[in-house]
Amino acid sequence: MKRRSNYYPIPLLGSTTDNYNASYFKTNIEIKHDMSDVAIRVKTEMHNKELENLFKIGKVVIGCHVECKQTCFRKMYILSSLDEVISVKDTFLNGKTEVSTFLMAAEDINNFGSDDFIEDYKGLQFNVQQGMILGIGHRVECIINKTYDEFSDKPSICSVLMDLSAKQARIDTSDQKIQVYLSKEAFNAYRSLSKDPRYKEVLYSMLIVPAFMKAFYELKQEGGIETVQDSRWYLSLKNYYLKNGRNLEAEIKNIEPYEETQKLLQDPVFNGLIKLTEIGVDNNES
Amino acid sequence: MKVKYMNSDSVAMCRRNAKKIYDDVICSNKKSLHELFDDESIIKSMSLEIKEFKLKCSGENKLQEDIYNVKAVYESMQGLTDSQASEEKLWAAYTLSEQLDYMKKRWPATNEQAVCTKYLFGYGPHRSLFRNGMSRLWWIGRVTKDDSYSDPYELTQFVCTHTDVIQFICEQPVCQQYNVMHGVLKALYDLDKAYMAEEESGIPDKDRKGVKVGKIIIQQTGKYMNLLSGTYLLDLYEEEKIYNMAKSYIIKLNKKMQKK
Repeated sequence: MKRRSNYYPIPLLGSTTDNYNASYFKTNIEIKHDMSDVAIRVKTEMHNKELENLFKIGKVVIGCHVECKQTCFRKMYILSSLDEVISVKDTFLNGKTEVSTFLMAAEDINNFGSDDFIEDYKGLQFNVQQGMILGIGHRVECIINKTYDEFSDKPSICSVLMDLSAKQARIDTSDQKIQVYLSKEAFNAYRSLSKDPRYKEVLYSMLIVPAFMKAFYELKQEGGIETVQDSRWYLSLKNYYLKNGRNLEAEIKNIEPYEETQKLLQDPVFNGLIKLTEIGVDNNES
Repeated sequence: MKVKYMNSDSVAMCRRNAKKIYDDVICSNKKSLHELFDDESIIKSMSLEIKEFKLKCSGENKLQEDIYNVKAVYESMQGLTDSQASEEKLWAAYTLSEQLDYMKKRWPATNEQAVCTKYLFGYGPHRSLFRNGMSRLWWIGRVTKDDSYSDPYELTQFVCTHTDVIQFICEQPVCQQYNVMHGVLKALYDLDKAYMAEEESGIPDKDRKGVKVGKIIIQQTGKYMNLLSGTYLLDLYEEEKIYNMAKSYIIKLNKKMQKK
Protein backbone atom coordinates (compact mmCIF):
# COMPACT_ATOMS: atom_id res chain seq x y z
CA MET A 1 0.00 0.00 0.00
CA LYS A 2 1.99 2.95 -1.30
CA ARG A 3 1.15 6.22 0.38
CA ARG A 4 1.98 9.83 -0.35
CA SER A 5 2.66 11.94 2.68
CA ASN A 6 1.32 15.17 1.17
CA TYR A 7 -2.32 13.99 1.28
CA TYR A 8 -2.71 14.00 5.04
CA PRO A 9 -4.84 16.47 6.98
CA ILE A 10 -2.72 16.17 10.14
CA PRO A 11 1.04 16.29 10.79
CA LEU A 12 2.71 13.06 9.93
CA LEU A 13 5.56 11.30 11.67
CA GLY A 14 7.95 9.25 9.58
CA SER A 15 11.25 9.23 7.82
CA THR A 16 10.20 11.21 4.72
CA THR A 17 8.16 13.99 6.30
CA ASP A 18 9.25 17.12 8.09
CA ASN A 19 6.19 17.87 10.20
CA TYR A 20 8.06 17.25 13.47
CA ASN A 21 11.47 18.53 14.58
CA ALA A 22 13.33 15.72 16.36
CA SER A 23 10.62 13.05 16.64
CA TYR A 24 10.73 9.89 14.54
CA PHE A 25 8.85 6.66 13.79
CA LYS A 26 11.02 3.98 12.22
CA THR A 27 10.30 0.33 11.57
CA ASN A 28 12.45 -2.52 10.38
CA ILE A 29 10.67 -5.38 8.60
CA GLU A 30 12.09 -8.89 8.14
CA ILE A 31 10.18 -11.55 6.20
CA LYS A 32 10.83 -15.29 6.36
CA HIS A 33 8.90 -17.89 4.39
CA ASP A 34 9.00 -21.35 5.97
CA MET A 35 7.08 -24.42 4.86
CA SER A 36 3.59 -23.02 5.16
CA ASP A 37 3.90 -19.78 7.07
CA VAL A 38 5.20 -16.35 6.30
CA ALA A 39 6.70 -14.82 9.44
CA ILE A 40 6.92 -11.03 9.48
CA ARG A 41 9.03 -9.43 12.20
CA VAL A 42 8.50 -5.75 12.83
CA LYS A 43 10.90 -3.82 15.06
CA THR A 44 9.74 -0.30 15.85
CA GLU A 45 11.61 2.73 17.12
CA MET A 46 9.46 5.66 18.11
CA HIS A 47 10.42 8.95 19.64
CA ASN A 48 7.70 11.48 20.42
CA LYS A 49 6.45 12.19 23.93
CA GLU A 50 2.77 12.67 23.09
CA LEU A 51 2.44 9.75 20.67
CA GLU A 52 4.35 7.41 22.98
CA ASN A 53 1.92 8.26 25.78
CA LEU A 54 -1.08 7.64 23.51
CA PHE A 55 0.48 4.33 22.44
CA LYS A 56 0.85 3.27 26.07
CA ILE A 57 -2.87 3.81 26.75
CA GLY A 58 -3.93 2.15 23.47
CA LYS A 59 -5.33 5.23 21.74
CA VAL A 60 -2.59 4.97 19.14
CA VAL A 61 -1.52 1.63 17.69
CA ILE A 62 1.16 0.32 15.37
CA GLY A 63 -0.35 -1.44 12.37
CA CYS A 64 1.32 -3.85 10.00
CA HIS A 65 -0.58 -3.99 6.73
CA VAL A 66 -0.11 -7.08 4.56
CA GLU A 67 -1.45 -7.04 1.04
CA CYS A 68 -1.26 -9.51 -1.83
CA LYS A 69 -3.25 -8.33 -4.85
CA GLN A 70 -3.04 -11.68 -6.60
CA THR A 71 -4.97 -13.47 -3.84
CA CYS A 72 -7.19 -10.52 -2.82
CA PHE A 73 -5.54 -10.67 0.61
CA ARG A 74 -5.49 -7.48 2.62
CA LYS A 75 -5.25 -7.37 6.37
CA MET A 76 -4.14 -4.98 9.08
CA TYR A 77 -2.37 -6.59 12.02
CA ILE A 78 -2.29 -4.56 15.21
CA LEU A 79 1.06 -4.86 16.99
CA SER A 80 1.09 -4.72 20.75
CA SER A 81 4.82 -4.32 21.26
CA LEU A 82 7.82 -2.64 19.65
CA ASP A 83 9.30 -5.97 18.55
CA GLU A 84 6.73 -8.43 17.30
CA VAL A 85 6.40 -11.31 14.88
CA ILE A 86 3.16 -11.95 13.01
CA SER A 87 2.45 -15.09 11.07
CA VAL A 88 0.42 -15.37 7.87
CA LYS A 89 -0.57 -18.73 6.35
CA ASP A 90 0.97 -18.84 2.91
CA THR A 91 -2.26 -20.28 1.47
CA PHE A 92 -3.42 -16.64 1.49
CA LEU A 93 -0.39 -15.32 -0.38
CA ASN A 94 1.05 -15.86 -3.83
CA GLY A 95 3.58 -13.77 -5.72
CA LYS A 96 4.14 -10.10 -4.94
CA THR A 97 3.27 -9.23 -1.35
CA GLU A 98 3.53 -5.80 0.23
CA VAL A 99 4.11 -5.15 3.91
CA SER A 100 3.63 -1.59 5.22
CA THR A 101 3.73 -0.20 8.72
CA PHE A 102 1.80 2.68 10.23
CA LEU A 103 1.12 4.54 13.39
CA MET A 104 -2.60 5.17 13.58
CA ALA A 105 -5.45 6.28 15.77
CA ALA A 106 -7.29 3.33 17.30
CA GLU A 107 -10.08 5.66 18.39
CA ASP A 108 -11.06 9.32 18.03
CA ILE A 109 -8.53 11.62 19.73
CA ASN A 110 -9.56 15.19 20.44
CA ASN A 111 -7.16 18.12 20.61
CA PHE A 112 -4.04 16.24 19.62
CA GLY A 113 -0.93 18.38 19.63
CA SER A 114 2.79 18.02 20.09
CA ASP A 115 5.51 20.25 21.52
CA ASP A 116 7.75 18.94 18.74
CA PHE A 117 5.63 20.13 15.80
CA ILE A 118 7.56 22.27 13.34
CA GLU A 119 6.97 26.01 13.35
CA ASP A 120 4.01 25.80 10.88
CA TYR A 121 1.98 23.65 13.29
CA LYS A 122 3.29 25.02 16.59
CA GLY A 123 0.46 25.39 19.10
CA LEU A 124 -2.13 23.83 16.81
CA GLN A 125 -4.39 21.01 17.95
CA PHE A 126 -6.14 18.46 15.77
CA ASN A 127 -9.18 16.27 16.16
CA VAL A 128 -7.97 12.92 14.97
CA GLN A 129 -10.56 10.35 13.89
CA GLN A 130 -10.27 6.60 14.30
CA GLY A 131 -8.26 5.09 11.44
CA MET A 132 -6.35 8.27 10.65
CA ILE A 133 -2.67 7.84 9.95
CA LEU A 134 -0.29 9.56 12.36
CA GLY A 135 2.95 8.01 11.16
CA ILE A 136 4.33 6.05 8.25
CA GLY A 137 7.02 3.45 8.76
CA HIS A 138 8.98 1.21 6.47
CA ARG A 139 7.37 -0.61 3.50
CA VAL A 140 8.77 -3.69 1.79
CA GLU A 141 7.76 -5.88 -1.12
CA CYS A 142 8.60 -9.55 -1.39
CA ILE A 143 7.74 -12.41 -3.71
CA ILE A 144 6.12 -15.46 -2.13
CA ASN A 145 7.03 -18.46 -4.26
CA LYS A 146 5.51 -21.85 -3.54
CA THR A 147 8.16 -24.49 -3.94
CA TYR A 148 6.21 -27.37 -2.45
CA ASP A 149 2.68 -26.82 -3.78
CA GLU A 150 1.77 -29.75 -5.96
CA PHE A 151 1.39 -27.66 -9.07
CA SER A 152 4.41 -25.51 -8.41
CA ASP A 153 6.81 -24.91 -11.21
CA LYS A 154 10.11 -26.66 -11.32
CA PRO A 155 12.69 -24.29 -9.90
CA SER A 156 14.24 -23.72 -13.34
CA ILE A 157 14.41 -20.16 -14.60
CA CYS A 158 14.60 -20.99 -18.29
CA SER A 159 12.17 -22.94 -20.48
CA VAL A 160 12.18 -24.27 -24.01
CA LEU A 161 8.75 -23.85 -25.61
CA MET A 162 6.94 -24.24 -28.92
CA ASP A 163 5.95 -21.31 -31.13
CA LEU A 164 3.65 -22.59 -33.87
CA SER A 165 4.32 -19.63 -36.14
CA ALA A 166 8.08 -19.42 -35.60
CA LYS A 167 10.42 -20.12 -38.46
CA GLN A 168 13.55 -19.74 -36.38
CA ALA A 169 14.43 -19.93 -32.71
CA ARG A 170 14.04 -16.84 -30.57
CA ILE A 171 14.65 -15.89 -26.97
CA ASP A 172 12.26 -13.90 -24.78
CA THR A 173 13.32 -12.47 -21.41
CA SER A 174 10.18 -10.42 -20.78
CA ASP A 175 8.20 -13.13 -18.95
CA GLN A 176 8.62 -14.78 -15.54
CA LYS A 177 11.13 -17.26 -16.98
CA ILE A 178 13.68 -16.83 -19.76
CA GLN A 179 11.99 -18.53 -22.71
CA VAL A 180 13.50 -20.12 -25.78
CA TYR A 181 10.89 -20.51 -28.53
CA LEU A 182 11.33 -23.13 -31.25
CA SER A 183 9.29 -23.98 -34.32
CA LYS A 184 7.02 -27.02 -33.99
CA GLU A 185 9.47 -29.28 -35.82
CA ALA A 186 12.47 -28.11 -33.80
CA PHE A 187 10.53 -28.33 -30.55
CA ASN A 188 9.47 -31.92 -31.25
CA ALA A 189 13.10 -32.81 -31.95
CA TYR A 190 14.11 -31.11 -28.69
CA ARG A 191 11.34 -32.92 -26.77
CA SER A 192 12.50 -36.25 -28.11
CA LEU A 193 16.22 -35.64 -27.43
CA SER A 194 15.60 -34.22 -23.95
CA LYS A 195 14.29 -37.62 -22.82
CA ASP A 196 17.82 -39.01 -23.23
CA PRO A 197 20.00 -37.70 -20.35
CA ARG A 198 23.15 -38.04 -22.48
CA TYR A 199 22.03 -35.04 -24.54
CA LYS A 200 21.40 -32.76 -21.57
CA GLU A 201 24.64 -30.74 -21.82
CA VAL A 202 24.48 -30.66 -25.62
CA LEU A 203 20.97 -29.22 -25.51
CA TYR A 204 22.06 -26.80 -22.78
CA SER A 205 24.89 -25.57 -25.00
CA MET A 206 22.64 -25.14 -28.01
CA LEU A 207 19.62 -23.57 -26.31
CA ILE A 208 20.14 -22.49 -22.72
CA VAL A 209 23.62 -20.95 -23.01
CA PRO A 210 22.54 -18.41 -25.68
CA ALA A 211 19.40 -17.66 -23.64
CA PHE A 212 21.40 -16.82 -20.51
CA MET A 213 23.88 -14.83 -22.56
CA LYS A 214 21.07 -12.75 -24.00
CA ALA A 215 19.68 -12.22 -20.48
CA PHE A 216 23.10 -11.03 -19.22
CA TYR A 217 23.52 -8.68 -22.19
CA GLU A 218 20.12 -7.18 -21.48
CA LEU A 219 20.91 -6.73 -17.79
CA LYS A 220 24.11 -4.90 -18.75
CA GLN A 221 22.20 -2.29 -20.71
CA GLU A 222 21.19 1.06 -19.21
CA GLY A 223 17.94 0.42 -17.26
CA GLY A 224 18.18 -3.30 -18.04
CA ILE A 225 17.70 -4.43 -14.44
CA GLU A 226 14.73 -2.10 -13.83
CA THR A 227 12.93 -3.64 -16.82
CA VAL A 228 13.02 -7.19 -15.41
CA GLN A 229 13.40 -6.64 -11.68
CA ASP A 230 10.01 -8.18 -10.79
CA SER A 231 10.42 -11.28 -12.95
CA ARG A 232 11.00 -14.59 -11.22
CA TRP A 233 14.05 -15.37 -13.32
CA TYR A 234 15.84 -12.17 -12.31
CA LEU A 235 14.91 -12.55 -8.63
CA SER A 236 16.13 -16.17 -8.63
CA LEU A 237 19.39 -15.19 -10.30
CA LYS A 238 19.89 -12.30 -7.87
CA ASN A 239 19.27 -14.64 -4.90
CA TYR A 240 21.65 -17.23 -6.32
CA TYR A 241 24.41 -14.60 -6.46
CA LEU A 242 23.59 -13.40 -2.94
CA LYS A 243 23.83 -16.94 -1.60
CA ASN A 244 27.28 -17.13 -3.14
CA GLY A 245 28.33 -13.87 -1.51
CA ARG A 246 28.06 -11.81 -4.70
CA ASN A 247 26.00 -8.81 -5.76
CA LEU A 248 24.63 -9.20 -9.27
CA GLU A 249 23.54 -5.58 -9.56
CA ALA A 250 26.95 -4.26 -8.57
CA GLU A 251 28.86 -6.73 -10.71
CA ILE A 252 26.77 -6.76 -13.86
CA LYS A 253 28.83 -4.14 -15.71
CA ASN A 254 31.96 -6.26 -15.46
CA ILE A 255 30.33 -9.61 -16.22
CA GLU A 256 31.36 -11.24 -19.48
CA PRO A 257 28.15 -13.09 -20.56
CA TYR A 258 29.68 -16.10 -22.31
CA GLU A 259 32.14 -16.90 -19.53
CA GLU A 260 29.62 -16.16 -16.78
CA THR A 261 27.05 -18.49 -18.35
CA GLN A 262 29.63 -21.29 -18.50
CA LYS A 263 30.32 -20.84 -14.79
CA LEU A 264 26.65 -20.62 -13.88
CA LEU A 265 25.65 -23.74 -15.79
CA GLN A 266 28.81 -25.63 -14.84
CA ASP A 267 30.63 -25.83 -18.16
CA PRO A 268 27.90 -27.13 -20.46
CA VAL A 269 29.96 -26.56 -23.62
CA PHE A 270 32.92 -28.60 -22.36
CA ASN A 271 30.65 -31.31 -20.89
CA GLY A 272 28.52 -31.36 -24.04
CA LEU A 273 31.54 -31.98 -26.23
CA ILE A 274 32.69 -34.82 -23.98
CA LYS A 275 29.20 -36.37 -24.09
CA LEU A 276 29.04 -36.05 -27.86
CA THR A 277 32.40 -37.82 -28.11
CA GLU A 278 31.12 -40.63 -25.86
CA ILE A 279 27.89 -40.94 -27.89
CA GLY A 280 30.02 -41.11 -31.05
CA VAL A 281 32.19 -43.85 -29.53
CA ASP A 282 29.09 -45.79 -28.42
CA ASN A 283 27.60 -45.57 -31.90
CA ASN A 284 30.86 -46.67 -33.55
CA GLU A 285 31.13 -49.65 -31.20
CA SER A 286 27.58 -50.78 -31.88
CA MET B 1 -12.98 -35.69 -10.30
CA LYS B 2 -9.64 -34.04 -9.76
CA VAL B 3 -8.72 -30.38 -10.19
CA LYS B 4 -7.05 -29.76 -13.54
CA TYR B 5 -4.15 -27.45 -14.32
CA MET B 6 -1.39 -26.80 -16.83
CA ASN B 7 2.21 -26.06 -15.99
CA SER B 8 3.36 -22.49 -16.43
CA ASP B 9 5.43 -23.36 -19.52
CA SER B 10 2.25 -24.58 -21.21
CA VAL B 11 0.46 -21.37 -20.23
CA ALA B 12 3.34 -19.31 -21.67
CA MET B 13 3.11 -21.40 -24.84
CA CYS B 14 -0.66 -20.74 -25.07
CA ARG B 15 -0.06 -17.02 -24.73
CA ARG B 16 2.61 -17.06 -27.42
CA ASN B 17 0.33 -19.10 -29.72
CA ALA B 18 -2.89 -17.19 -29.01
CA LYS B 19 -3.59 -16.67 -32.71
CA LYS B 20 -3.35 -20.41 -33.47
CA ILE B 21 -5.56 -21.23 -30.49
CA TYR B 22 -8.09 -18.66 -31.65
CA ASP B 23 -8.09 -20.03 -35.22
CA ASP B 24 -7.82 -23.78 -34.66
CA VAL B 25 -9.23 -24.49 -31.20
CA ILE B 26 -11.87 -21.80 -30.66
CA CYS B 27 -13.17 -20.75 -34.08
CA SER B 28 -12.82 -23.70 -36.41
CA ASN B 29 -12.87 -26.55 -33.86
CA LYS B 30 -10.18 -28.19 -35.99
CA LYS B 31 -8.04 -29.24 -33.05
CA SER B 32 -8.14 -29.68 -29.31
CA LEU B 33 -5.43 -28.02 -27.24
CA HIS B 34 -3.43 -31.23 -26.88
CA GLU B 35 -3.65 -31.87 -30.62
CA LEU B 36 -2.43 -28.36 -31.35
CA PHE B 37 0.69 -28.85 -29.24
CA ASP B 38 1.11 -32.60 -29.85
CA ASP B 39 1.02 -33.11 -26.12
CA GLU B 40 -1.41 -35.61 -24.60
CA SER B 41 -0.46 -34.57 -21.09
CA ILE B 42 -0.75 -30.79 -21.46
CA ILE B 43 -3.69 -30.89 -19.00
CA LYS B 44 -2.63 -32.35 -15.67
CA SER B 45 -4.50 -33.34 -12.50
CA MET B 46 -3.89 -32.24 -8.93
CA SER B 47 -4.62 -34.72 -6.17
CA LEU B 48 -7.42 -32.48 -4.84
CA GLU B 49 -10.83 -34.04 -5.51
CA ILE B 50 -13.81 -31.84 -6.34
CA LYS B 51 -17.49 -32.46 -7.01
CA GLU B 52 -18.31 -32.68 -10.68
CA PHE B 53 -20.08 -29.56 -11.96
CA LYS B 54 -21.91 -28.66 -15.14
CA LEU B 55 -22.19 -25.04 -16.21
CA LYS B 56 -25.28 -23.52 -17.77
CA CYS B 57 -25.05 -21.39 -20.88
CA SER B 58 -28.20 -21.39 -22.96
CA GLY B 59 -27.58 -17.72 -23.79
CA GLU B 60 -31.16 -16.80 -22.84
CA ASN B 61 -30.39 -15.11 -19.53
CA LYS B 62 -26.67 -14.81 -19.08
CA LEU B 63 -26.83 -12.94 -15.78
CA GLN B 64 -29.16 -15.46 -14.12
CA GLU B 65 -27.04 -18.29 -15.44
CA ASP B 66 -23.95 -16.57 -14.05
CA ILE B 67 -25.48 -16.80 -10.56
CA TYR B 68 -26.03 -20.53 -11.02
CA ASN B 69 -22.51 -20.99 -12.41
CA VAL B 70 -20.82 -19.02 -9.61
CA LYS B 71 -22.51 -21.27 -7.06
CA ALA B 72 -21.67 -24.41 -9.04
CA VAL B 73 -17.96 -23.58 -9.40
CA TYR B 74 -17.42 -22.16 -5.92
CA GLU B 75 -19.30 -24.97 -4.15
CA SER B 76 -17.47 -27.60 -6.16
CA MET B 77 -14.00 -26.05 -5.78
CA GLN B 78 -14.22 -24.68 -2.24
CA GLY B 79 -11.28 -26.92 -1.32
CA LEU B 80 -8.90 -24.68 -3.27
CA THR B 81 -6.85 -22.25 -1.22
CA ASP B 82 -6.85 -18.59 -2.25
CA SER B 83 -3.29 -19.04 -3.38
CA GLN B 84 -4.17 -21.96 -5.66
CA ALA B 85 -7.24 -20.18 -6.99
CA SER B 86 -5.08 -17.20 -7.94
CA GLU B 87 -3.07 -19.30 -10.39
CA GLU B 88 -3.54 -18.66 -14.09
CA LYS B 89 -2.34 -22.20 -14.86
CA LEU B 90 -5.33 -23.70 -13.06
CA TRP B 91 -7.99 -21.63 -14.80
CA ALA B 92 -6.34 -21.87 -18.23
CA ALA B 93 -6.85 -25.64 -18.09
CA TYR B 94 -10.59 -25.05 -17.69
CA THR B 95 -11.05 -22.23 -20.20
CA LEU B 96 -9.00 -23.88 -22.94
CA SER B 97 -9.98 -27.49 -22.40
CA GLU B 98 -12.32 -28.67 -19.63
CA GLN B 99 -14.93 -25.91 -20.07
CA LEU B 100 -14.15 -24.85 -23.62
CA ASP B 101 -17.76 -25.26 -24.82
CA TYR B 102 -19.05 -23.05 -22.01
CA MET B 103 -16.38 -20.43 -22.78
CA LYS B 104 -17.27 -20.34 -26.48
CA LYS B 105 -20.93 -19.68 -25.68
CA ARG B 106 -20.54 -17.32 -22.72
CA TRP B 107 -17.58 -15.32 -24.01
CA PRO B 108 -17.56 -15.63 -27.80
CA ALA B 109 -14.09 -14.62 -28.96
CA THR B 110 -13.94 -12.16 -31.84
CA ASN B 111 -10.15 -11.98 -32.08
CA GLU B 112 -7.00 -13.51 -30.68
CA GLN B 113 -6.86 -10.81 -27.99
CA ALA B 114 -9.80 -12.53 -26.28
CA VAL B 115 -7.62 -15.59 -25.77
CA CYS B 116 -5.31 -13.46 -23.64
CA THR B 117 -8.01 -11.57 -21.74
CA LYS B 118 -10.81 -14.12 -21.23
CA TYR B 119 -9.07 -17.49 -21.54
CA LEU B 120 -5.79 -16.50 -19.85
CA PHE B 121 -4.84 -13.74 -17.40
CA GLY B 122 -4.54 -10.67 -19.60
CA TYR B 123 -4.65 -7.91 -16.98
CA GLY B 124 -2.84 -7.37 -13.67
CA PRO B 125 -2.91 -10.29 -11.22
CA HIS B 126 -5.86 -8.92 -9.23
CA ARG B 127 -8.07 -7.71 -12.08
CA SER B 128 -7.49 -10.92 -14.06
CA LEU B 129 -9.16 -12.96 -11.32
CA PHE B 130 -12.44 -11.22 -12.15
CA ARG B 131 -11.94 -11.10 -15.95
CA ASN B 132 -10.89 -14.64 -16.85
CA GLY B 133 -14.04 -16.52 -17.90
CA MET B 134 -13.64 -19.28 -15.31
CA SER B 135 -11.70 -17.73 -12.42
CA ARG B 136 -14.31 -14.96 -12.18
CA LEU B 137 -16.94 -17.54 -11.24
CA TRP B 138 -14.84 -18.83 -8.32
CA TRP B 139 -13.71 -15.39 -7.14
CA ILE B 140 -17.15 -13.79 -7.30
CA GLY B 141 -18.32 -16.67 -5.11
CA ARG B 142 -15.31 -16.20 -2.82
CA VAL B 143 -15.81 -12.49 -2.21
CA THR B 144 -19.63 -12.37 -2.13
CA LYS B 145 -20.69 -15.49 -0.23
CA ASP B 146 -21.95 -14.34 3.14
CA ASP B 147 -23.15 -16.82 5.74
CA SER B 148 -24.98 -14.13 7.70
CA TYR B 149 -27.82 -14.34 5.14
CA SER B 150 -30.29 -17.24 5.09
CA ASP B 151 -29.21 -17.68 1.48
CA PRO B 152 -25.41 -17.20 1.60
CA TYR B 153 -25.45 -16.29 -2.09
CA GLU B 154 -27.84 -13.34 -1.73
CA LEU B 155 -25.06 -10.79 -2.35
CA THR B 156 -23.80 -12.96 -5.22
CA GLN B 157 -27.15 -12.56 -6.94
CA PHE B 158 -26.97 -8.81 -6.51
CA VAL B 159 -23.43 -8.64 -7.88
CA CYS B 160 -24.18 -10.88 -10.87
CA THR B 161 -27.17 -8.78 -11.85
CA HIS B 162 -25.30 -5.48 -11.31
CA THR B 163 -22.07 -6.35 -13.11
CA ASP B 164 -20.59 -2.85 -12.70
CA VAL B 165 -20.06 -3.83 -9.06
CA ILE B 166 -17.39 -6.29 -10.20
CA GLN B 167 -15.35 -3.62 -11.95
CA PHE B 168 -15.87 -0.69 -9.60
CA ILE B 169 -16.07 -2.43 -6.22
CA CYS B 170 -14.65 -5.98 -6.35
CA GLU B 171 -11.62 -4.92 -8.39
CA GLN B 172 -10.82 -1.93 -6.12
CA PRO B 173 -7.75 -2.65 -3.97
CA VAL B 174 -9.35 -1.02 -0.91
CA CYS B 175 -12.31 -3.44 -1.17
CA GLN B 176 -10.10 -6.51 -0.97
CA GLN B 177 -10.54 -6.29 2.78
CA TYR B 178 -13.59 -8.39 3.69
CA ASN B 179 -15.23 -5.82 6.02
CA VAL B 180 -14.88 -3.07 3.45
CA MET B 181 -16.14 -5.22 0.56
CA HIS B 182 -19.16 -6.51 2.47
CA GLY B 183 -19.98 -3.18 4.11
CA VAL B 184 -20.14 -1.52 0.69
CA LEU B 185 -21.95 -4.41 -1.03
CA LYS B 186 -24.59 -4.57 1.69
CA ALA B 187 -25.19 -0.82 1.56
CA LEU B 188 -25.72 -0.95 -2.22
CA TYR B 189 -27.84 -4.08 -1.97
CA ASP B 190 -30.10 -2.83 0.84
CA LEU B 191 -30.76 0.49 -0.86
CA ASP B 192 -31.50 -1.23 -4.16
CA LYS B 193 -33.80 -3.75 -2.46
CA ALA B 194 -35.66 -0.94 -0.69
CA TYR B 195 -36.06 0.87 -4.00
CA MET B 196 -37.49 -2.24 -5.68
CA ALA B 197 -39.97 -2.74 -2.82
CA GLU B 198 -41.03 0.92 -2.94
CA GLU B 199 -41.40 0.74 -6.69
CA GLU B 200 -43.67 -2.28 -6.34
CA SER B 201 -45.80 -0.59 -3.66
CA GLY B 202 -46.11 2.57 -5.74
CA ILE B 203 -44.67 4.85 -3.05
CA PRO B 204 -44.26 8.41 -4.40
CA ASP B 205 -40.71 9.42 -5.37
CA LYS B 206 -40.40 12.10 -2.68
CA ASP B 207 -41.16 9.60 0.11
CA ARG B 208 -38.78 6.91 -1.02
CA LYS B 209 -35.80 5.79 1.05
CA GLY B 210 -34.35 3.33 -1.42
CA VAL B 211 -31.95 4.11 -4.26
CA LYS B 212 -31.99 2.72 -7.76
CA VAL B 213 -28.46 1.37 -8.01
CA GLY B 214 -27.00 1.88 -11.48
CA LYS B 215 -23.60 2.36 -13.02
CA ILE B 216 -23.00 5.95 -11.83
CA ILE B 217 -23.92 5.16 -8.22
CA ILE B 218 -21.67 2.09 -8.22
CA GLN B 219 -18.78 3.87 -9.91
CA GLN B 220 -18.93 6.89 -7.59
CA THR B 221 -19.18 4.67 -4.51
CA GLY B 222 -16.01 2.86 -5.58
CA LYS B 223 -14.27 6.21 -6.10
CA TYR B 224 -15.46 7.46 -2.73
CA MET B 225 -14.09 4.42 -0.90
CA ASN B 226 -10.80 4.86 -2.70
CA LEU B 227 -10.70 8.52 -1.72
CA LEU B 228 -11.44 7.70 1.92
CA SER B 229 -8.69 5.09 1.97
CA GLY B 230 -6.21 7.86 1.17
CA THR B 231 -6.70 9.40 4.61
CA TYR B 232 -8.12 6.61 6.76
CA LEU B 233 -6.95 3.06 7.18
CA LEU B 234 -10.36 1.57 6.47
CA ASP B 235 -8.99 -1.87 7.27
CA LEU B 236 -9.38 -0.89 10.90
CA TYR B 237 -13.12 -0.30 10.66
CA GLU B 238 -15.91 -2.74 11.47
CA GLU B 239 -18.19 -3.78 8.63
CA GLU B 240 -21.08 -1.86 10.20
CA LYS B 241 -19.14 1.41 10.17
CA ILE B 242 -18.21 0.95 6.50
CA TYR B 243 -21.86 0.09 5.75
CA ASN B 244 -23.09 3.30 7.36
CA MET B 245 -20.45 5.44 5.65
CA ALA B 246 -21.23 3.95 2.24
CA LYS B 247 -24.99 4.14 2.76
CA SER B 248 -25.03 7.79 3.78
CA TYR B 249 -22.76 8.65 0.84
CA ILE B 250 -25.02 6.83 -1.65
CA ILE B 251 -28.16 8.54 -0.31
CA LYS B 252 -26.51 11.97 -0.55
CA LEU B 253 -25.23 11.21 -4.06
CA ASN B 254 -28.67 10.04 -5.15
CA LYS B 255 -30.30 13.23 -3.87
CA LYS B 256 -27.71 15.31 -5.69
CA MET B 257 -28.33 13.38 -8.90
CA GLN B 258 -32.09 13.80 -8.59
CA LYS B 259 -31.74 17.57 -8.24
CA LYS B 260 -29.82 17.82 -11.52
